[in-house]
Amino acid sequence: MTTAWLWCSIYLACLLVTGWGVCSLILPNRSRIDFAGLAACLGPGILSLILIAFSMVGWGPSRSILLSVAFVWGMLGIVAHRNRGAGFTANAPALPGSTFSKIWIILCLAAVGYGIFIVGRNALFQPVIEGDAFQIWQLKTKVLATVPLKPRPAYFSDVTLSYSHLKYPILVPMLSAGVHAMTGDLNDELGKAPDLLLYLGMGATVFGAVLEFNCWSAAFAAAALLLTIPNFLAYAGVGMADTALAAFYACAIVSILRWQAERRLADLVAALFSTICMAWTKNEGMALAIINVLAIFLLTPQPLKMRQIRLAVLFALVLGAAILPWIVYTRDLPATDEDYAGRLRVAQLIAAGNRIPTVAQSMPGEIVDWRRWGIFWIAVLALQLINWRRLRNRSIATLWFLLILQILAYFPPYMVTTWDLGELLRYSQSRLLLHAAPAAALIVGLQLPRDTPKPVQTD
Amino acid sequence: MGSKNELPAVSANPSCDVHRFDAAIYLFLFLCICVAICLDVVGRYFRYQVQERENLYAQVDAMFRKGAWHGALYVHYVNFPQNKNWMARDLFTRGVYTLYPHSVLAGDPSVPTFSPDQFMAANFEPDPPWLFQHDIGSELTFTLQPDGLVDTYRRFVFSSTEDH
Repeated sequence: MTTAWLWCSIYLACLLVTGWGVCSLILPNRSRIDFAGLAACLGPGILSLILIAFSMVGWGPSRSILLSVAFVWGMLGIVAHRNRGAGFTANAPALPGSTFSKIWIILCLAAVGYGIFIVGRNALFQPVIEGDAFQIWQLKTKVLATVPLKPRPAYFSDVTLSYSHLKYPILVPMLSAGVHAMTGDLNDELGKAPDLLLYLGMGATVFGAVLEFNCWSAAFAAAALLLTIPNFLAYAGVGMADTALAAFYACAIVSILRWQAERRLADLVAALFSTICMAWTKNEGMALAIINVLAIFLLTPQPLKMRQIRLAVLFALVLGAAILPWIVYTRDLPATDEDYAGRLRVAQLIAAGNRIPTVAQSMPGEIVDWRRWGIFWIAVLALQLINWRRLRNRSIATLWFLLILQILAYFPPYMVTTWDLGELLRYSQSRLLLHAAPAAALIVGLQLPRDTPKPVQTD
Repeated sequence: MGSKNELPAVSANPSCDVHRFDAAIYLFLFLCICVAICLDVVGRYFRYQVQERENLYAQVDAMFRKGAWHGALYVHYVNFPQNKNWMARDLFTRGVYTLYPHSVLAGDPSVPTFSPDQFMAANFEPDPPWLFQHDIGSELTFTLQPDGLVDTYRRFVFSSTEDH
């Protein structure tokens, strides 16, 4: 068991080294906390995609592949840092001096500490007990850890396992399969360990963005609010894909906001990498990826300029090319589950129009469900009502645009589902809204009052 | 940030550290965080029943491990009313996960089963030739009785059958 823990720690280090290498190459001149957040999210995402690529050519995940990939990214990171100097900037505002702010920061740190303790327990010590975790994600993990994707494993054609959604994207299962490849067995608990890294990475990404756009107190508030949502504490670390999708989405949103503000290609590349990871994580991630493309196309400061149009088109093309291998790989698999993609036809949507009110009415009920959300969504709405004038701010408008489109994107699948709609809404809606939580936390963080005066920009 | 996208300062006096109204907003957020943590603590003990579920699945896992032998394992359900179809399907999915890469079947492998109702409709009591044909070495029968779930096992050696 001690050996398994040691190898698991080495695997987590490989994920971080990969993230560090990726971020060093594409994101020079970021603050350390920013860098750490993006590295903790993009590292697992990129390493999993590389493992999937290896698996698709016949090499399943193994210690040698994992260590080699991490070594290569580590070397690339070192070269990038040497060529560009230190690579970090001190663009964070000064630490607040008031007693109020200091107490606030200590309270937030305590709250975040509680979240890390709970998610750490879920991820490292608890067996897989969540239905979706062992029926879908961790079952696929065992498949991917045992056999490569080429030749295609019998699992993908086994119609008695349709309940495990044979065509679902496999980034999270491959991420967990990496643990098993490293430890050498199909250990129940440790397969969920990367979830903890993604949970921390998501918090750090939101923290870093709010710190850069606003101040320390607001950054701690946004991170603590996000990381202590009861739903996150219940689902993070249990072996499902929701935390991963929320973490990648947080990275994508933050990168899009930075690209809007500074128009640096590096941020667009970071948004692209995060969006590719989202699309490989869940079907919902594919819908969110399309929304990201729309945001990049429509919400740039000069949307009709040829350069912006070219960038948005290039973004969409690269994204499409990146998810094409999975679409090709799964196109002839038996469609025996819900097959939402096959059902999303105009005629079918029109026929199911009478379901719209049911879905629409369930949303307010979900966001005020205090047992799942506390008063998180109420705080988001209340703060926006108080600061309604700030909707004119491009960053906040973009976040609302993403949030509203995301919620609307869930309507069509609910309309065509073969499940009992009420039962499905009760079961799934709380987890779908988890993916939107980072955007909501950013909305809160960007609107909170500053604890120190804005630093004067000298350049 | 560019100047067009700058967030306006909330406090009328930016040199003042925290305005009273600003402090009230932060206190409200503190309340949010406290409520969330309290709900999680309470939910962990009363709602999620983590320990109970861990114990339950440990028992189910042990049942499946006991039933697994050479070849695939067949799971048969007896006395499950329709409103317990989901429970039967959950048991099966747990078995598939626990025993992987060992195969687990609960019906004809060519029949797709997605919903619990489809799953139970496909479940039948197989005869030894069928089991032999599908390389199934053992059978686990779950019987739902008023006092709980009863598990019984049968193992097969080639074409002969031995009950135990």
